[in-house]
Amino acid sequence: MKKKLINQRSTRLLYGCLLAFTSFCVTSYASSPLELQQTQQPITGTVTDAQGVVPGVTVLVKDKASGTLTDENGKFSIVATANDVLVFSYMGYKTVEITVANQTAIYLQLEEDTTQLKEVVLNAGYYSVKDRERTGSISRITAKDIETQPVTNVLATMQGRMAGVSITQTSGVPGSGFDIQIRGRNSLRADGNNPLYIVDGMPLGTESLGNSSFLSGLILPGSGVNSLSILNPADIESIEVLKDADATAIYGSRGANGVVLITTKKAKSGKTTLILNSFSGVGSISRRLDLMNTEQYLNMRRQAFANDGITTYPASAHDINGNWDENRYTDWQKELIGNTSLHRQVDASLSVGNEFTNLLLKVTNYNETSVFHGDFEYGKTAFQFSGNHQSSNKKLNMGLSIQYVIDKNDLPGTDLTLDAINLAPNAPALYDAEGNLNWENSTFVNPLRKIKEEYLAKSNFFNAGGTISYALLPNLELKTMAGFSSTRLNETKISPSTIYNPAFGLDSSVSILLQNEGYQQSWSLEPQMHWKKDFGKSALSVLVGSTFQERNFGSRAIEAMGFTSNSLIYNMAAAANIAIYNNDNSIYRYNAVFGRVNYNLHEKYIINLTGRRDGSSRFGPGKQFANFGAIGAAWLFGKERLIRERLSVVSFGKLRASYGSTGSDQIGNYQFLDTFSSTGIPYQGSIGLEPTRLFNPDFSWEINKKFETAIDLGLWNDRIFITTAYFRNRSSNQLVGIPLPGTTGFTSILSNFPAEVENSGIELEWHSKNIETINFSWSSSFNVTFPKNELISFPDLERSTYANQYVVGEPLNIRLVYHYTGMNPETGFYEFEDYNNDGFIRPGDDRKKHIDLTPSYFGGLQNSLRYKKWHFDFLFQFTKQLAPNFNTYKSMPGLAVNQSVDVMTGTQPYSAGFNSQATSAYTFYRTSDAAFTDASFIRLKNIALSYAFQTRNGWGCKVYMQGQNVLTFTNYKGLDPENYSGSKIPPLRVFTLGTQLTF
Amino acid sequence: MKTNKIIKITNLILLFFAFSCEEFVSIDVPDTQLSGEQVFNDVRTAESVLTHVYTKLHNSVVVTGDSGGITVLLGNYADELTCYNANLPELVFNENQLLESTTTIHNFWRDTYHLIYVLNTVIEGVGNSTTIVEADRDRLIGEALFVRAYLHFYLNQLFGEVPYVKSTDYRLNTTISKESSSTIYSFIEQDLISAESLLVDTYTGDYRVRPNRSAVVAMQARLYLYHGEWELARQKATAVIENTGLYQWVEDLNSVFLRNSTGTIWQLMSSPEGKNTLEAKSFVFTLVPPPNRALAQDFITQFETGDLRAIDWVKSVTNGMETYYHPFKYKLNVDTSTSMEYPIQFRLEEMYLIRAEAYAELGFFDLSKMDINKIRNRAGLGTTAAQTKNELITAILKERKFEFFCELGHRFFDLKRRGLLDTTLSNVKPGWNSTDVLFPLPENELLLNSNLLPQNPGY
Repeated sequence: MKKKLINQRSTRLLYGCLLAFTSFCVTSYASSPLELQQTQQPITGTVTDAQGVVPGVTVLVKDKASGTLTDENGKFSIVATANDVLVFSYMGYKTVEITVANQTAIYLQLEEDTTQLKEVVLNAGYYSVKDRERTGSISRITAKDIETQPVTNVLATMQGRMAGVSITQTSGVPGSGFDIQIRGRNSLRADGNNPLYIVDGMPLGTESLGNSSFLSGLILPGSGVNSLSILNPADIESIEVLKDADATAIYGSRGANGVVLITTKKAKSGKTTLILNSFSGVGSISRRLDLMNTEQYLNMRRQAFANDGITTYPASAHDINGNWDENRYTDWQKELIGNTSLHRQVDASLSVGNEFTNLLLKVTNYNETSVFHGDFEYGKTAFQFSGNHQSSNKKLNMGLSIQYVIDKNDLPGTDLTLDAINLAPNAPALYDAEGNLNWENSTFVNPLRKIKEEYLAKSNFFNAGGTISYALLPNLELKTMAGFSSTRLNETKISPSTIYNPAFGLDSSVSILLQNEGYQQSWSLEPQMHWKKDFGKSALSVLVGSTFQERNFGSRAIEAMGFTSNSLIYNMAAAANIAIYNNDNSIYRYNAVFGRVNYNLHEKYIINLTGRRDGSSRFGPGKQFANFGAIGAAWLFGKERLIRERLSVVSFGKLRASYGSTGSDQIGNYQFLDTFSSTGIPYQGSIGLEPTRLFNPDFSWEINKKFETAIDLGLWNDRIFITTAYFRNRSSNQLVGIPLPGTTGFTSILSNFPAEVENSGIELEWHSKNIETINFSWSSSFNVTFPKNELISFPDLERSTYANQYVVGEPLNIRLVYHYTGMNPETGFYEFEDYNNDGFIRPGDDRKKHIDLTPSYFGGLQNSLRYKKWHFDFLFQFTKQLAPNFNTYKSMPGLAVNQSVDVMTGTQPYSAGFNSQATSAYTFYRTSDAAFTDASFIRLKNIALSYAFQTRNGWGCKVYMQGQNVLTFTNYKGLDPENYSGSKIPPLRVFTLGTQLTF
Repeated sequence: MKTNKIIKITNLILLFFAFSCEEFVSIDVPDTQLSGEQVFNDVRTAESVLTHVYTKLHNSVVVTGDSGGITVLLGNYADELTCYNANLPELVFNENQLLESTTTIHNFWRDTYHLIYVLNTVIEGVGNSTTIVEADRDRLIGEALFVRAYLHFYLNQLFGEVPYVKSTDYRLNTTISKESSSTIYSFIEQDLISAESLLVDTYTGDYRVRPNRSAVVAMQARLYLYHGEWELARQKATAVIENTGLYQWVEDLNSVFLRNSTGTIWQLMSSPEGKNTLEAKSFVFTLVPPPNRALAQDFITQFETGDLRAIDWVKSVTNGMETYYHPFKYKLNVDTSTSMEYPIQFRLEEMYLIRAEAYAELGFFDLSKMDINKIRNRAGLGTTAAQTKNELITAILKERKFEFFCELGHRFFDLKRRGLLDTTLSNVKPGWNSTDVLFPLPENELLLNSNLLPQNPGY
């Protein structure tokens, strides 16, 4: 390490600043600046390579702001002192540093850097692989991409950045989840498409800890709080997504939906660095519906009753029967979900170390208020520790990473979005003159009762992953990965008597506190042996290992009723009755042996074999074990002489292909058992028991066979790098909850699905360095995926319960709907195609129109621009798709529900619900192709602008502005084209300002 | 030296991989659950499965006093209640605008068949059990058969032809066909006959929260009444009325719905102790206008002058300008230190009015009048003026209307079985159609099992 010299002009050191920005402002802990005022001298020179002169080589004076480029003859001239170091760099060549000393002319021959790409090493879980030599499909993002985004969920950071990975945000509520699909929907079970998440070697249990049926269901979509939603994105160094069989088969049964490897931040070797970072910002909902105003709304209502021939408005029609002021107008979207949320984060990290030992400590505190009416707040405090040590003989290596996160989420009990878009615009004020909830003489069901039902989730997440490896022989390494993780959730929801209209005359004896405690605790142990042998022209590496994993879950939901006072509602001791609704414990055990053999010939031909034998406690006796495996091969054709000599524009070329099988055991525990569970409710003093499920002892592993072929191409010294992949995954024997009619007593039974499903697609990734000069650079990344999904075969579909859901040859993600043919010229009502010409519109007979909801394509375009010390990054995310529009969650125009202004034209005559012909026509309309519209969108997902510089004493400083969900371009008729829901707030648009200091 | 090292390494490797075994991934039934076999080996746990059905009936299914039960839904559907809250699912019932996609209907169907499934697990599980003694076995199976018949009775009344599910085998039940109403009737009759033979008249546990033999007989009386089997209806009703050791007439109208009422034949338990009825929670309000629902203004004006039921079982709420009324049979919408009221499924008054109707049909007019007057006199009304059969039937229907208003849909079923729905409802309910006599079969069920086709007329 050369000592850094800093003179008084150091604030203008461009190179240092750039370096500081791109690598987290990691600068050395400088010794006191040396006051060296040496004479400047001009230096000239020529840069060549094996073939001749090289124009465009960057020549920089190290740690100073001056620099130049070689001209078309490879010549340069620059001014420097004798102590200065010149840095010569050029894409595709090794960077060279030369101390000026007393030279005035420098002649340099650059060496081609064949290892440049090679040095990008990807984490493939049990092993790491040089990007250049991988045979599988792996996408990755790093902290550089993550830290430009003011988000709290790990999955949010990946949106739009990876080909083949589709991520949708289900709600804008803080702490809510994301849906992820890696290469399409493999499973018909909604909860069966989650990839395997691994944090520092420790599998992360993403099962929900919450109780969505009693507590979180109305505010947090999906399953509520889980470990993934708690994890702190700021602690993450990189995320790798394994997609094809070659990469995932080593995860066997858990790899069918892909594997997400999360690596947390590690200490950088040998430097003491303190980074302080802070940002704050504001958020608001990103889209709204354009709703009717009071005049338009009341006209609709009056017209509706007139059309129905009703002259006396019914008792329940408060909006027009005189009970409510007909001149009032409230923008309920603004009132209920239109607040500005405040976002604030402070984090600090300290990294220390020496040659053998490095330590990192990081603490993050994040707060976010809500856009809902009322005071709600989400907070996350995260601690991160990472340490690694190497023995002085370099044989023993140890690493340990620990995350501890405290998460607190205070939310209204119910998402108010539906109220915001449904309430009549002339509905009364929310509060009366005394500041109490206004019930307008019992005519107004005040939506704020839902925010009085406060939901509070407190969770703790602890994850520790460690590795010990010992080089027993020069070629043989023994390694053990071990991990422990524990997540605890305590969630409460209150229903104080004040949520009820005082007309019921209720007091705190009806107040309820619901509490649920959930935990998950797991350990994992993976002893492995790595053997490597270099034969000169070829290399062989072998890995064998085994996995032992156990995960314990538990939950207990308690209802406390009848409080002496509403002020004591969080005190269970003040409750008259306490009932335990649910108390579950379960255990999951998993055991496997796995291996990998990789053979590399001439660094040109690579073959990779992986396999795994899995056993899972989720299957019944005799069905627990299964084998999975894959073969992957790569040919680095760019290294063939023919290409090198004749096609020198191709700097890198690789063809790769893989085929293999994976499985999935994401079916929940004990599904094969016939069990009864306690209901928690006593009758005659004894607690009820109910059958837990329809049981099927005979289901077995589902098989997912994956094929992929891809070409990686680097052009013009890898200034442009293109990857094109074709994949085709076929799953059969799928484990699904087969829907059952109610007469069976249950809604589904877990069974092996008799059909074969194919997910195929083309993925394209493009990275280019468009412009690279000293002052200005511009690089782009683009990815696009064209997915295709098809139900290939389904024996006896017609007689199964899926008969009205799927069609052979069509995607799984279709809806069978009526075909809307227009309005009847006489009655004005909607009409639909009568497919079997029987004169009736019937769901079974006439829902024959197929609507495909699989996106045609999706992807993202990222650009990074740098001008001197300014950096500007922006990401566009795009999707081409059809989606259900607002008609699917809006009731018939004319009823006491506000409507989009769109319904004022081109719709059937309004009805207040008394014309059954209108009502049924409208019901068909909601389930017809008219309820689906184009929901394609282009979203300016993220922008990040930063200015980085160094202070005189060598401290790094960065100020930045970031924006998330900045702009959305879409013609979608509804709230948000991403989650297309009418009951959840759209993703928030967030802008933040921040500063980062590095010492 | 080198071989030594190799042996060491081999040993280490063997140590690493020797653990993989099937035992590691074999797990027991979780400690918070019981296996099906265990449940029916112990009478206490078998009992808990059955009583869970009663809890469900109380809290959320078919006969619940909550807003998803027939008390509220059919009160709206017929002419008893007015809905004042446009956000409530019952509004479409009030407006008689049901659709095959109406969620309430689908939930109603699924929840009912789920309970039938649970009852069938009891019938099969207890039947196969070798450890439960005969007396317990008879009682458990008898109750389960009775409730199975009771639920199918309501399904048939509301949906018309429906499957009669007698097994837990999902393969059979997935493609099960509808039965004709006459077959359903005979299945109900058979189940009730079996239940009657298996049960005794002693109630299990405190109060009358478990059906006994008389509850089965009372149900038989109702079944025969609905099917015009007058003599059988008379016999069954009489059998209960004459069981005076268990059932005594309650003179005080305000005591009829208390949990220790001697006129109760079967009630559901409000649990835990201190809870009262969901009926009271559904109906009681203290400020006007009514937040959710109230007695229809038309309905209230039809009470005869001097009818004490209009005073004791109805409560008026006024703000000085407007007055609204709510059912007040069950009075406690809040918890009390010990529970005071339990929702009643069968009470003695129904047996009198069933017998009155049977007598009238069989030509015993005087006996019929005596039974009618028993009801009228308690309500503070004079003897009935009805003389002819038709007058008597009209008088009985009127008495049933004011005796059983807002109780388990009696009003709707009475109009239905007497063919009076159209004439009565089309005047007061603008949305009423003749085909509304049956609910639609849930659309999703038709899509999942085409053997349930065709849909009921009008939907």
